[in-house]
Amino acid sequence: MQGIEIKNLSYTYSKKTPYEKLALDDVSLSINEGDFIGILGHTGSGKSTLILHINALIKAQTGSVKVMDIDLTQKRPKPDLKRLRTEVGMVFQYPEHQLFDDTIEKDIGFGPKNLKLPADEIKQRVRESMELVGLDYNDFKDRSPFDLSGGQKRRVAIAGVIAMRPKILILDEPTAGLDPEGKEHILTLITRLKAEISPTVIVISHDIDEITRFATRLIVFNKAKIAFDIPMTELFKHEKELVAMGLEVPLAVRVARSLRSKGIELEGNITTPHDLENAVVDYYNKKHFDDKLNSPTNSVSITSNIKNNASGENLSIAYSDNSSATPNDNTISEKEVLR
Amino acid sequence: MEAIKLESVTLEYKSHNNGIVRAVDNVSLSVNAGEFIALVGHNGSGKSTLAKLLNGLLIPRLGDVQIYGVSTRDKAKIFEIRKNIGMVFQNPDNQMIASIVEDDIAFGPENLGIEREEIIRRVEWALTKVNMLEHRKSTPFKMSGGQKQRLAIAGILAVKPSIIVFDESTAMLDPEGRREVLAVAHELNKNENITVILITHYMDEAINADRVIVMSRGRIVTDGTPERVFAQKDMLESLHLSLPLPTSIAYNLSKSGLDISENILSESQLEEALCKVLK
Repeated sequence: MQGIEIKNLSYTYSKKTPYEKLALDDVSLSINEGDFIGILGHTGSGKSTLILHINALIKAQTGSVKVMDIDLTQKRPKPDLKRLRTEVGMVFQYPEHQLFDDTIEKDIGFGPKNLKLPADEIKQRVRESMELVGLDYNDFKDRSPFDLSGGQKRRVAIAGVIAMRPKILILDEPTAGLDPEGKEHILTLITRLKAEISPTVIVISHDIDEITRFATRLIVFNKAKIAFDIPMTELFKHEKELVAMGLEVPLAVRVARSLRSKGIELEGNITTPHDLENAVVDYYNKKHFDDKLNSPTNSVSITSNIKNNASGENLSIAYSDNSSATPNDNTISEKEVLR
Repeated sequence: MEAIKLESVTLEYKSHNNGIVRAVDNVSLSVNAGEFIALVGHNGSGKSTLAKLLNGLLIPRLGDVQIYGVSTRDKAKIFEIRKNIGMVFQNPDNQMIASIVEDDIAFGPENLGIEREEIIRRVEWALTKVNMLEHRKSTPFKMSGGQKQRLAIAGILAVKPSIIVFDESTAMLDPEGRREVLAVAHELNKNENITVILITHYMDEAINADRVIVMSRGRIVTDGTPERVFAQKDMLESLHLSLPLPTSIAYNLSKSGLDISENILSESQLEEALCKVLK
């Protein structure tokens, strides 16, 4: 098994004290190799406690946690935590606070060095990790990590984690506190790391509009339990639940719902701004086409080419109509010029 | 009345290899009392340096900064300036000093030597303003980020400033905390007539400001109403700044040929425009 298997996991902080707090309540979850997961939930909903279990930073109180073939809850023989932490890369919140060495090369090389890898292998990994996060090796290797901008520091910290070549990468609020450009860098980086280093990626975020952009599976935590675990494309079905939990609903979902409630039946699953834009353009063209149908030109098939700027691709939409009122061979193809 | 005035202000920092970075480059700016200003720009654009110049934490190398006509160079009056202009920073944890909420809020007025009765009145008023009065006897350490940040604001309010600078005060908060802090900022601006300078990365937070100022490389690139500033998409993009989400959707649709105004800032404006064009 290459994924993560969690069964009936419960965890209580400060047990048997007045501050006792149930953080995870009988949570079961399986994560497969290749999953791109976004985890959403309020502060204190249990999401961080869950990922701490995956890296064995806290031990399960009840239930079981298995990461790849390592059973973290087994007593004897003890689970190989060193291997676990090589396989699971953890990028904590504000990872730049964990930078410590006086040069970037030494900081990133710290993990591989502890694995007792040969010196040239360490150097190779540092170089590759730096190139991956977009920092030129020769320019940056001898500089102090503390002289960098916030976004650059964060990339150095991430490079330190991926220098271990983890199979599973977990990031807790990876874009918090960054400016829009820094955010873009990190989001692009995460997608790239998934393709090149870590096939399984789990991202915790507060920003639903951000999660919908990359993750394909969404897990929502509420009050120590998993509220739902769905493919991202089904997000729009759960709008009411998100609102009830006090969580943000993506803007596109809200707008689409509001338009539908006013009789504008946009088609398809709308989660991202891009989905919304496409659905609106489709709807507009279709309406235009219907207007044409009722007009004396009797066009049956219109291929409209709309330059879609959101994606930069040409979006071709072909409508064919089976209405018997119009002869089938009378096919007119025309390039729709909107407006 | 002019609350803040910057005249050709320039300030440099030393960079890592002993080079010189001009963080604020010949900036002139005038802010009237009661304005709500959003100051945006990417990291290193000079906006936080500008904030620190306002209350004399930094003194310009060239030019002059005046708060209600008093220059920050005037050492004898620096406390008067700092009383007048409060700062809320990014990390709420760095701004708490006492273990009980009301002690924390009282710290400012205590230092000004204000008498006890007045301090009590101010603490109560300040906590009411940020909706935290019920927590007056609690400890701030176990509170949410949004609550802590509102306490930081209350601590500043107790000094009765006429200007508050929010230096990325929402950057570390979750969406709920962001909403809380933003609501307090607007409330104080509207009902207490406090001049607000809101420094932010979130363009969505700028749409309700009276004025949006965009900084890049230490200079003010543009300064105007949100409608005017966010209409300049190409300029913002060249500065690696994003548009507010509704604006960007409207823009893309308009590029696709839909007859939709580009002057859209809020979600409700977007909905309205879409209804019109699709109905």
